[in-house]
Amino acid sequence: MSADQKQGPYSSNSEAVRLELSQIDASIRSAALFFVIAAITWLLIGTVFALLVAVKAHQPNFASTFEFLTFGRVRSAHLNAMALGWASNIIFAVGLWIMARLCRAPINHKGILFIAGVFWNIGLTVGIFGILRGDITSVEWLEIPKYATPLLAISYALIGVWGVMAFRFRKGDHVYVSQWYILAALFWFPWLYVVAQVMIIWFPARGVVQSVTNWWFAHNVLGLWFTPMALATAYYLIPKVLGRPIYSYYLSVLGFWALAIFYNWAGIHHLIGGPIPVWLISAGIVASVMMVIPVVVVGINHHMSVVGLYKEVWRSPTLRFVVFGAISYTLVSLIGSAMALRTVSEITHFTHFTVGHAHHGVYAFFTMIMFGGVYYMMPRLLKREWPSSFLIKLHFWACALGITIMIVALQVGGWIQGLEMNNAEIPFLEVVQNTIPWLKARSVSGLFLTVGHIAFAANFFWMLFAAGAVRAKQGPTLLGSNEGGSAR
Amino acid sequence: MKNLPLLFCGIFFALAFSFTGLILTSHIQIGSLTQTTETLEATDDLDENGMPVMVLAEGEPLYPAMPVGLAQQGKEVYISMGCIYCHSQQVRRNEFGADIERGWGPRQTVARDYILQERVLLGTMRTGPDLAHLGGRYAGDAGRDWNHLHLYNPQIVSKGSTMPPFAFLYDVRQITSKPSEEALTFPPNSEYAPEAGYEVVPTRRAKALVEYLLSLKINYSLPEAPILE
Amino acid sequence: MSEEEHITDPSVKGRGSLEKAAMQDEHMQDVHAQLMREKEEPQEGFSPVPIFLMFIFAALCFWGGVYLVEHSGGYRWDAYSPDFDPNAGAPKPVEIALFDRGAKVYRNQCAQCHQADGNGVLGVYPPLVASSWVTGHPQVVSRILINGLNGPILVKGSKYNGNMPAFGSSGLALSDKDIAGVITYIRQEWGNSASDVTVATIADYSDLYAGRSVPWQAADLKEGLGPVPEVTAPLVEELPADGEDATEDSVTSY
Repeated sequence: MSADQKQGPYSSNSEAVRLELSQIDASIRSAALFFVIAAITWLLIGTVFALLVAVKAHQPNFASTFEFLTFGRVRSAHLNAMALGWASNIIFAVGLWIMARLCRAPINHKGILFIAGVFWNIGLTVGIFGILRGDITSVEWLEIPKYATPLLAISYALIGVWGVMAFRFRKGDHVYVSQWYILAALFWFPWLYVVAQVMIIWFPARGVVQSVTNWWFAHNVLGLWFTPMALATAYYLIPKVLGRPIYSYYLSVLGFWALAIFYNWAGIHHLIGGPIPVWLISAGIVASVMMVIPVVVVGINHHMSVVGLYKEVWRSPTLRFVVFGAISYTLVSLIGSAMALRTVSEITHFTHFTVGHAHHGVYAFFTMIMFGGVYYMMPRLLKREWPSSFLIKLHFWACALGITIMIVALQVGGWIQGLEMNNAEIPFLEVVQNTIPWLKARSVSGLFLTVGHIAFAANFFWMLFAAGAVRAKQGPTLLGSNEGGSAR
Repeated sequence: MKNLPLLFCGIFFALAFSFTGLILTSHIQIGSLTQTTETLEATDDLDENGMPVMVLAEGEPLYPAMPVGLAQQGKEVYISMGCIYCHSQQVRRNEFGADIERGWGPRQTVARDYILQERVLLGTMRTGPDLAHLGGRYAGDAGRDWNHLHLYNPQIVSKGSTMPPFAFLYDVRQITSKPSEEALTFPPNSEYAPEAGYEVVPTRRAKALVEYLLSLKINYSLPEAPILE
Repeated sequence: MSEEEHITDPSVKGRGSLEKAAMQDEHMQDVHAQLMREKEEPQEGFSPVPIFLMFIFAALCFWGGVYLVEHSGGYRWDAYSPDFDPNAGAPKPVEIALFDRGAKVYRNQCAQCHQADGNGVLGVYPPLVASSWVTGHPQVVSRILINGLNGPILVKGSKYNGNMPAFGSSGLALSDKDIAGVITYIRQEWGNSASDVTVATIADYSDLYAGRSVPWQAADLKEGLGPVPEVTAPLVEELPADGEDATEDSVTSY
């Protein structure tokens, strides 16, 4: 087998390679399934929290008699359920699967991986209950109380090590761009998490050094954990589905290193105008603007790889989601760079604009790409087809419309809020009341997303617990009218 | 990419670079600030630039002041309710935003203002107003009354607010012999007032929270951030 | 990877659905349909990086360097403004008119209770509009501001019984300038048209009442008033003995 690998690129056209991929899929199957089930469960739980918070934001008396349902706690429960429940579980599933496939290394001792996954989710459940109970730390993105975080850290170490092990025992010379991203993210995330926990919660640093650490961590969760994993997934799936190479290796290299160097420093833009020496803030601003480089590079690389094949993209459930996410990446990052400029930040900082921006990144970019990853991975793990193309379409449209409405509502409303807040002549209460229509629009967008998530979960569990008719289904589930063809 | 040592080093140094540049450097630069007097006094000694060495003014009080008693417990309540998700505690400099114009503080807050706080609650949302200088806007019994009513239900004193009520921090109880001195005084005919014969009394947590809120004050100058008056 | 290992995997045990799925595992090693139709594993093309991009990136890096040099306050710990200049002298406070200063103070300190339109809340926070307590002898309103007020008070025919905080040195410690400003503001806004109250006047009153630690009661407010301080504007000649009956008519407008 190794003889023919050395001559040409690793191609699944050969029977031997297909057999190898089949073994790898089988080796990660149970663990990946567990992570996907956990992720979707957290997605639904997080959605319930999200709806509660969205309504509370404009109906303050709604469900306000119970202490554990107060806004600050439910909002944090939502954030952690989504970031550590949905996003991280789905990263463990899709990221490890892609890593194993690209390294051509089956996952051994998968029992340990599975158990670590169980503990991760137990730790998270304890953490979410702790938040609702009032043990919330009120440190943004680190709300989970002290007693649950060591469990999370240990189980992460046991999960992350599998990606590194796959890489260690990889076959073949070539290391593909997705592997760089996944390897780096698996290494960066624990560093960030441990430093932030130690310097803010366990042995608090003095004064605003905490805040600097906090935003270095929080922004990098997005930049060095979610973003690389989503980019790795896009880099894997686009050429895989289209059967066309990624446009340029050089752009991949440039994009990866520019992200690695600049994203790190960008988090300080959350403290513009704050009680931090100005040079730290200026460094954060410059790094944020420099993020234009990796973003444009990745955008061009992805775009040139799909150019001309739009029909295929639209027909494949996987690519429809992935390309939506990739376009959002370009958009959200350019907006983010602009928001880091002092003149823009003066308006958008402290407003709902930033909330819209966060959802633009974590949802429209990261989550949509991961949905695409699940649509591609599951048929291979279960050896079944998705039961309903209608549910996939419903999922796509509800999520695409929902998130678009949310971003527009929060960013337009937030911009107005920022302008008014900076005009001391306008009483504060009036500023607050002028945001209410936009917050109501956000609640409506939440309903769209809920419909999308239910459609996704229904389709998934239908596939998982499939009856004979679904199991016997032949051929890929596509979203176009003309069956057959080569998409997906 | 075939040069794996380079890949590993790159991944490591990318994060090490920002960790050093942002976290360690700021820790060295502002992580050891101490309390100071409002102004410094020049001594006869000169530093290497030929400027007089500045020392603390003798006999003057030190700022920021140590937080005390009930207010400290109130901070725990503030943390456990997640107030930070709608209220910041930082004042931006003059002519950058309208923080000072809005009376959120008489001057910009700087790193030294936060050195005695075990948990720093800068916050990044202003769904509600900034609270860094709340105690400069409300004080005494009048301030206490207002904040208790506002926490019990913001609509009482701030109609149209989107802040949630924190009524669960208050006991509604029957008046036995005579009304409690701590009972909230509602406006006449208020729809939020308890039924006749009942009164609303703050729990210990509510009292602590209000003390904490009233203790938030930027009413002192620092050498690097004087109040311009 | 043997079949047995997969079936005995603890994760699969006890999960009905997965067991069912595991039944199919005898085919797992087969190259199933999903794999058969899969395209080859991803590869990279080697298109060159567009040259104009490199120019744009170089320009960006140049901008970044200039920005850092210009706006880093010399990397000092005590520089908090991007335009920090270590050689500049102490910044000078800007002088604003008494009335404008008062408007700002009112917005920030008073409007929560007395409302932006000065009408207060009936029964809770008394109105300031056309209230003779406000527009009458400057010493009355100054006393309230400096030491606070509690207990019952009759304002424009309605009874109020609350706590007004002290804004003088015993309370919120506003400067004399701010107190003078806000008193001037409330005496002249919303159609009120009483005289200015100068900083010097307030400074005198502040000294006078610095020792007083208890708030005023409505009944004492009009006891022992001094002469109306002189200002350039025409003045109220005489205070009505009774607080509430005489309002606008006793206030000379100008």
